[in-house]
Amino acid sequence: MTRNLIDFAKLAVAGMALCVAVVSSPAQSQESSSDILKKVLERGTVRVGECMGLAPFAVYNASNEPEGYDIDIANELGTGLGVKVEIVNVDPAARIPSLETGKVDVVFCDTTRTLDRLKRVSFTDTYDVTGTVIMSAKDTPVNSLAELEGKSVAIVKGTPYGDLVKKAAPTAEVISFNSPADIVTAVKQGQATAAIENSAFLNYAAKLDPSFHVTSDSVIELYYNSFAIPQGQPNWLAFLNEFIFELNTSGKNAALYKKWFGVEPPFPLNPKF
Amino acid sequence: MNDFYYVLSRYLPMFLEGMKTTATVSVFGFLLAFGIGLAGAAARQSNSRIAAAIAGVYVEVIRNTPMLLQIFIIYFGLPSIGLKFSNYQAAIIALGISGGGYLIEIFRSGFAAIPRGQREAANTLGLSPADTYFSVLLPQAMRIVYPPTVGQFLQMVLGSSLLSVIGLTEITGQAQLISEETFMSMPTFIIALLAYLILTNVISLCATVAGRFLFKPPLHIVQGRMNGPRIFPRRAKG
Repeated sequence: MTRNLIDFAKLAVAGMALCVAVVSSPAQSQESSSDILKKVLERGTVRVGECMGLAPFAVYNASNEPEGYDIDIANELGTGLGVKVEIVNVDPAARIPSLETGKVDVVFCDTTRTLDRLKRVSFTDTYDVTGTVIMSAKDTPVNSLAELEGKSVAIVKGTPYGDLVKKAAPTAEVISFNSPADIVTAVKQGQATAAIENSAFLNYAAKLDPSFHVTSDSVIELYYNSFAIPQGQPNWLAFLNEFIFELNTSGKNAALYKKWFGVEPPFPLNPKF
Repeated sequence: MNDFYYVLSRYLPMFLEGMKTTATVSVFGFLLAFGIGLAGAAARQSNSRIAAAIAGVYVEVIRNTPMLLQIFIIYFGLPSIGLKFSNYQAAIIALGISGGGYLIEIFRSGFAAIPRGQREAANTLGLSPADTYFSVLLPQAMRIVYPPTVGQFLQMVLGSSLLSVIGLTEITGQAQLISEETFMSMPTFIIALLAYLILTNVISLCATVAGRFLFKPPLHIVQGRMNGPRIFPRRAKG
């Protein structure tokens, strides 16, 4: 018994020591002290974090090649930099940790700018504007946030929709899943009454399966989406902003949107307050 | 280090809630697995070839497929044939079905380790098959399988982290939510790790103490450094 306790105490002390060592290690500051733009050019490869499975932004096609709106833009970025593009699959929830630990140079993933996120990462200018819609089964249609009261709602972990639903419909039960495909499956299989996500994704899912009902665009304010990069990277940020500026002014962005979503971009890239 | 205290002080209730959920689904999952294990082990050893074959197929299917996919099928797949479970229920069923596959084999080996003479002696004394099972074989087998069964329970506690994929907010699920809210992934996941460490060590300790009272003579389990739990012969006092 005493030996057991001593062993346990040793283990606990070792565990704590490990924690202190890891948490206080300056890995983060080392990572951001070097210029990403320079590193990308030296390496000859830009590593773009994409949330694979968020159709039609980024999915794997039948021959297991990444394709989609975001992927086309990533390839444009590669051309602009004159380097090869490496697509890195990241979980929506792992976007910010991936940047902080230097696993990727930039994250696309249709990432919405929020003040909270800006405390940990930097954002470029807007490359895409999305509305938010609620998807439900045709037999039990949901038409507004307030109608979610008392119902179960599927969301993707790491998105701001959970707080939003709880504010508008306090008795709604929020179930958080790891991937965008899971929330569609959850509604399809009746595990959740509704799902809430960006309109481009859910409208695309509803187009593939006519048993879904989708609300009109958008049930809340518009989200202005950007690339996310680690903080303290002025050169990299300036390069990406110029890239997005040219992508927009050349009309390439609008053309790619039409190619993947089948419609003209529904909202202007610059907000009217 | 500040991040560490910030997360701990602000999100302690969420971690505790997660520990409660992990403990609850693990315990209920284990009870289900225990029942499946006993029934399956009996079936594997029974004279009925059909029962033995069913139990054998069950063990092979469950032990040779990933638990993550089993969870997906139970939660997302079964509604297609009209069986709909909440994520809590699906979690318990998935843990029970998966753990049951392993416990069948553990229990079978426990029964197999009892010398034939025990069964023959019981027959000779005129004990009914039920009496032979419950009074002679089961108590001896339980003593043998106790340490690996506790080990399997601990595996189920750790395996329950997979259940976060169906939106269950156990320790890992809570940690994912907290790390998204704070973006402090490193401290959050280390606290989650410690939560598992506390949970499993408490279970180990309880199991060791319980082993002394449940069996006669008392069972002494020493946590081996390399080989998992082992039975140690009682040391002579001196």
